[in-house]
Amino acid sequence: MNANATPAIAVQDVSKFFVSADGRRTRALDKVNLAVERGEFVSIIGPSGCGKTTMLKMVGGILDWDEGSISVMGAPVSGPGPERATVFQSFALLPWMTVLDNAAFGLKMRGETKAARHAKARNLLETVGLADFANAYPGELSGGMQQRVGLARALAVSPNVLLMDEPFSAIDAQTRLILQTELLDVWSQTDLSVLFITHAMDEAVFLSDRVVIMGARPGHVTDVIDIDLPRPRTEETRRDPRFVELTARVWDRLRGLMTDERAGAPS
Amino acid sequence: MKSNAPARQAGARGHRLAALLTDTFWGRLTLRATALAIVLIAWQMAGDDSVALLFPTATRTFQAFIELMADGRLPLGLLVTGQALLAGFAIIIGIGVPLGILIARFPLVDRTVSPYFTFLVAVPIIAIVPVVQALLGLTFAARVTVIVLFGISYVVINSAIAVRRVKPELIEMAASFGARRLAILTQVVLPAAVPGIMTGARLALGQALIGMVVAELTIVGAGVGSLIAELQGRFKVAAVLAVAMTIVLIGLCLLSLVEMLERRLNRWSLTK
Ligand SMILES: Nc1ncnc2c1ncn2[C@@H]1O[C@H](COP(=O)(O)OP(=O)(O)OP(=O)(O)O)[C@@H](O)[C@H]1O
Ligand SMILES: [Mg+2]
Repeated sequence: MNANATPAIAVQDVSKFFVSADGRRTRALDKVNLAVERGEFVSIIGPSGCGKTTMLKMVGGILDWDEGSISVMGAPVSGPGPERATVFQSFALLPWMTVLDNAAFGLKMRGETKAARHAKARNLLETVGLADFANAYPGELSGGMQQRVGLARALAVSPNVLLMDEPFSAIDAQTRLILQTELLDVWSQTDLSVLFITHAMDEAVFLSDRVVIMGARPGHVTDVIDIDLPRPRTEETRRDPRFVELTARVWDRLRGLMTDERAGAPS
Repeated sequence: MKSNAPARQAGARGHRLAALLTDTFWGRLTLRATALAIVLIAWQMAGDDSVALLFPTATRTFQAFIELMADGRLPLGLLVTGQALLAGFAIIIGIGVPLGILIARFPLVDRTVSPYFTFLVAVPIIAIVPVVQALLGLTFAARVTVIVLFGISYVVINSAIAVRRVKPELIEMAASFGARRLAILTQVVLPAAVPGIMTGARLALGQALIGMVVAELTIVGAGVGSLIAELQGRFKVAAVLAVAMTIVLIGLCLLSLVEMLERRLNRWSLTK
């Protein structure tokens, strides 16, 4: 199995600069290293502005980087590709399209026929529990339902790698817990590799095999914490002392970065 | 519903009647017809037919209208004028929308052409009409040009704003699924900009109608403008009024047609 030798996502010594309006070059990411093994669920957590979104966009192929290399499923990234799909924080649904057409949008961009893409999209709407809403418009759905459509749209293109940028942060706390479990259900039935960005420590611990902690100015990886909680994870997991302990450990590492940030703020 | 008290039901019925009048097509028609009837009665009473030169009553104006229709002069005039309007509006949309999109997407285009359209909005177009006339003479092209000058900036500016306002995350989403520039434009940017473009088109139509009348009256055309000039020369006050009112009514019909289209196309933007 040579294929298993290469990780699903490999980010090596990647640096990224942004040129601000006054012409100054600021380093947004500094020699970031990160690997997501095949079938692995990895979360990134870190203070605001540490470059999480920047990194996800680069892996997604919609943003260039300046130094280092990024490869997905063993192939160097040079733009978006059919083996990757993204779920967005703001859902990014097209309000003039029905739920079905939204779920089928990725397939449409890949040139699939209407019949084929609708069949697949219907399937995935079923998976995320929205089969009855195929003909509704996004504006008629709750936030949680809208993000289910976003998830269906990403899954519809049968990706190997799922990129998620704070997908549940705009969703109420209760729905969020339910969506976490649903996401794990879907993930466990596939061989998907997931890179998941979040600000919620319990979410990162509950979902992940590993939690990557990033610091800011410039963005860099400070810690990687292995989450050795057994799977499948259920509501019981949230009460597991080990879960509490791991969440506390993530907070310990993060808190250090937050105070760093505060101390560094005036400069 | 069934458990409601009778009094509340009566109240609900009142609300429902109001809703029926404002929210349904036939309801709105009834409202407008009533208002129109009141205006017509007032007009009839204000008019005086004893001397031909005095302000005509509604019936005299209508008679003049029938005569002008029967001898074919009004339909012919409207046809000629309508051609200029149609050509002008087609140019406004056909050039205005693409130009607005280019302005929104390319800063270079924005910097080079936007000032002209800001100028067109700021300046009274009537002041430029003599320039057009000097350049193009008393021609069809001159009248079309005046109409375009009146309306185009509204489409250009509103299209540009609409395209700029398209949420960047929608474009990023499409790009992440491998959409190329053209697909992003046709599948995301343009549909998202439709409500703004339609608003521009509606405003532009109103302006184009004004431009049409201005062109007819200043650059004497073969259409309703020359008809009005001729009737005025022979002191046919009722006939002049009939022509003017016909133009206004047709304009109103066109505007509500565009408004209806706008509402239909914008349904999704109103729900969210
Ligand atoms: N297009 C851009 N031009 C200039 N600077 C940018 C650009 N995009 C991001 N940045 C900067 O890069 C840094 C990282 O931004 P990024 O959005 O990746 O952070 P983040 O970790 O996702 O933050 P958050 O948790 O708030 O989402 C920030 O300091 C931001 O200001
Ligand atoms: Mg972010």
